[in-house]
Amino acid sequence: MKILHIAWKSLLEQVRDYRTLLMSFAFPISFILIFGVVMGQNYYTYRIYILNKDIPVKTSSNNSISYGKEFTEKLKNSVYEDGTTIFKVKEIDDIVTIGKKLEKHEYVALIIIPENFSSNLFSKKPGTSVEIFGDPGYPSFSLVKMGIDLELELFVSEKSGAEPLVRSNTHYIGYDSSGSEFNYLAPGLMLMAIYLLLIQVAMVIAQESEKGTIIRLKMAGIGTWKLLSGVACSQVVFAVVMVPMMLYTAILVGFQSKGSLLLGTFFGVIASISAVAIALIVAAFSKTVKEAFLWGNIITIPIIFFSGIFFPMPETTLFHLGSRVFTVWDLMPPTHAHKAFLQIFLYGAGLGDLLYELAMLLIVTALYFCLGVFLFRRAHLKD
Amino acid sequence: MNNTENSIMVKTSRLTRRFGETLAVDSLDLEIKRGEIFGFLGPNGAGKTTTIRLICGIIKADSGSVQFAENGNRSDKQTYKELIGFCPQELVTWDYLTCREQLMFTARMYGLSREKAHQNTEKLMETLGLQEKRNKQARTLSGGLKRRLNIALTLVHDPEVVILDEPEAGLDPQSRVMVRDFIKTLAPEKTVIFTTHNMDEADRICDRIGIIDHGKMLTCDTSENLKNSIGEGDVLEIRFEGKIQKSVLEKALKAKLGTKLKSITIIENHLIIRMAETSKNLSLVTTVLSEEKVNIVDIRFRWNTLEDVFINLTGRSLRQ
Repeated sequence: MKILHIAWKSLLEQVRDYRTLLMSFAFPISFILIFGVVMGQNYYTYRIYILNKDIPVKTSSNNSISYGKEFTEKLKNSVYEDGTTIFKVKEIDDIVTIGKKLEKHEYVALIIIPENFSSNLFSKKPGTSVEIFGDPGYPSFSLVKMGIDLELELFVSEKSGAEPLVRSNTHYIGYDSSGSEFNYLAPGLMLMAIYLLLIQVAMVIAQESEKGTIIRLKMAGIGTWKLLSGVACSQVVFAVVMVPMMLYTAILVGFQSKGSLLLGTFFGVIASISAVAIALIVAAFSKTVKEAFLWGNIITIPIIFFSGIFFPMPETTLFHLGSRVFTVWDLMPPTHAHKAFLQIFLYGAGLGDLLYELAMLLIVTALYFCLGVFLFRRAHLKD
Repeated sequence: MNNTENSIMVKTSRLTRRFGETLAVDSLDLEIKRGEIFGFLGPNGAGKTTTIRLICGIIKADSGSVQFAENGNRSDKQTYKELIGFCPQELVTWDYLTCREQLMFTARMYGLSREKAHQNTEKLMETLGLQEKRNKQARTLSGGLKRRLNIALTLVHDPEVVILDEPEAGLDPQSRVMVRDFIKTLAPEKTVIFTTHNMDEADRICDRIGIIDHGKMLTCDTSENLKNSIGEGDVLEIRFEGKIQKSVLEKALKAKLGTKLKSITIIENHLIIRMAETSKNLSLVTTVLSEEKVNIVDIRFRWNTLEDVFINLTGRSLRQ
């Protein structure tokens, strides 16, 4: 019963300290919205220049063939699966007109079609070069270059009649062809929201110490386990609210969830308890709320990154568990929670598919909790 | 404690605590009677707070023991924690909880039933004038009201021993009177222990006073006995400017006053003369001071105070 009273008190304190709470909610929501808007667009249109120097050739039947013009039209008309134009082409007569627009990334690439493009292709003569200019440090350039290479290969194959010996066929898993990068980021961003609460929890716990109220609890015979279990219970409530809130925000900006909200919330709840465990460790090293805020940020941000939420981490194997590899990053609870979130929301995995992630998350959380209790007791509740 | 010592509520035996090189409490032996108001009087840093924190079990003693009448010894944690109500010197409240919420919460933490917690909460809010602010969060209260809430939180589980660390610190005059009267009402039902460096506060409230300095108990008795212990006679307190030579002055005063002069003490620019029939002999004193070229700023005539007791014991003022 005492644990529930502590949970209720902790909940009241956090809700009433609305500025901190607002930050804890607003920050991840704004992250989801920004990422959703920026990366949720499935298809980008890239602006390119084409300088077509190609000289048409006359066939024996006196027809004029201009492959340079045809290739330009092909690029102009190339579209994604949903009909979005891939390239917005601006044809130029002189390279001088470009100025600094490539350097400024106003245009991604310049394609120069050589004079002998039609004649060589018509006579199937090798050695023709289409020149592509662009900034290799600009990520869009690599994508544009790949797209133009592919279009060029298909164009040449079509016009020369030489079928390629091997073709690749792409098959989408989990998602249909309309999936965007945001889909792969959204589960991690939802998880990030839960782990950002860690800072607030650390502050709430540190406040007990700074204000001296921990002495009142100590005098009442409230030990570390009861206090921290109570705080953990309050965080479960936040997780239950937060996971659906984040999920629906993500859906609002284009996330396509395939999984069960209930299962996601279940993992979110365990993740929130692991966040409390980490918060305990932070609070153990903090004498004041300000220190807890600083340490909370210092600890939380790397943990979020190292768990692979934003980009995959290099594999640093510690040991093998049967067919599974246990890496350094697996020592952190968010790693397992993130894997579970991805499986649930992207591939519709059920609890049966996630027993390993569940077990690991529980084990790592329990370890952190024990460590947190030990450190916190030593620092703040020792007789 | 055995049955013959049942009138003793709290007993410390050779209680000692160090903080690094500093000996905060030095072999403190103390017996506090059931139902009395006991005050620890001493200057800042004397070891008062450390002593009561040791009694409460907030910090551990390096050696020595604390015993309570009810449960025999301090090792029975839950029992002694229920027995004690500790009010820290700092304002220890939960900023975002209302007065009622935090009183209820604290009562429940001590294991009181909902009904009992509610009953105690209402009673304390009424007694300490917090009713009007019952639904206000602690962070919105004035300093005086926070101090009252601080005391209420100490008492909400109805402890037998109430330990208050500087309860009047930072209080406005109105709250001070209220708190002082409230503390008086606690005895003899409860045993009250409190620390103060305010001799007036100790004098007005305490049944017995222990004067503590450098972690040692210098003396312990009723206020009257303590004041009488430093000698009979009235006190003439003279504030002066410039320097004076105590031995020369003492010789001159003795020559003039003879056996009527009991003692002379000089603390900074205060000359404290204890003597019989002060009002009759005041002119003799002023004559001597004039002859010795003492530049008098003002003269006060008063009875012995606890401060005099402290000065007599330590040779310095409580405020020093």
